[in-house]
Amino acid sequence: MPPRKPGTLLPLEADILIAAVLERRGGQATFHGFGLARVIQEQYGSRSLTAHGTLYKALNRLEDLGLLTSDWEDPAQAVAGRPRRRLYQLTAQGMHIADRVRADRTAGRIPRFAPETA
Amino acid sequence: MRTPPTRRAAHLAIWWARCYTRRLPDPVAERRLGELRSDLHDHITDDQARGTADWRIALSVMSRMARGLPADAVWRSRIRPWTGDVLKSFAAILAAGLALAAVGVLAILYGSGDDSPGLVLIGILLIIGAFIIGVRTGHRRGRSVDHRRNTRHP
Repeated sequence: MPPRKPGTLLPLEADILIAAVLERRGGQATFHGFGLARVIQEQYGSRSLTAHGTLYKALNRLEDLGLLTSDWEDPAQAVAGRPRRRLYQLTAQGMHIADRVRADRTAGRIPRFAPETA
Repeated sequence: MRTPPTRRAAHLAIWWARCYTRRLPDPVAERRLGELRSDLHDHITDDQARGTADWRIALSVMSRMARGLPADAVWRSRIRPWTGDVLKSFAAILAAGLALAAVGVLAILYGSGDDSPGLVLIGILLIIGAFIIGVRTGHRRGRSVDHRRNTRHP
């Protein structure tokens, strides 16, 4: 696999940000791993769900970049018999970047989280 | 209630996660395992609610796990590089898995070219079997290495 260009996002990372911002505008402030995989699958009409390793590695990276935050679901609010979910949320910077990513996609550019250096 | 194929697939995915999170800091390993447990539960219950056949859900779980193997390995190596015994265990998994998977892929290719659905099924089963055998090999090796280390440094 070719090395990633500095400041750019992988397609899945861009998909996550776009799905997250659409969910947020639809009134869903937080999201979890499987829910996100399902949204991405339906949004892009994929036959299969995103692989576990790929999905959680991408979420970790977006969190490291400060575009997402996450925390464990409050046990009091979790449904009985279901494992607690890790809930993710877009940060203010994440919202800003997600909008830019959508614009980059529309314009056919590689999505970036940092401006290109000359 | 979950039927055996789904449960076995979920157990295999958790078991693989335990392998690649072995010897990582506890909070990091527990977070990944917790997320995976929740994901598998949501995946299975969601597909069951949609009326998906159990074997198909199991295949979907296995497929998600298998497609994510390289990302799991990269993620693990970024947090704590594979070294010494851990690397040997991982090499054992790859070697055993790849050999049988190659036979499985050949069976699928030959079977689809020859319009032999039975052979395709055998190929798929070989690939799944290859993965399970490879992972078990690596696990046993890892356990014996742990045992030797504990014996040497009680």
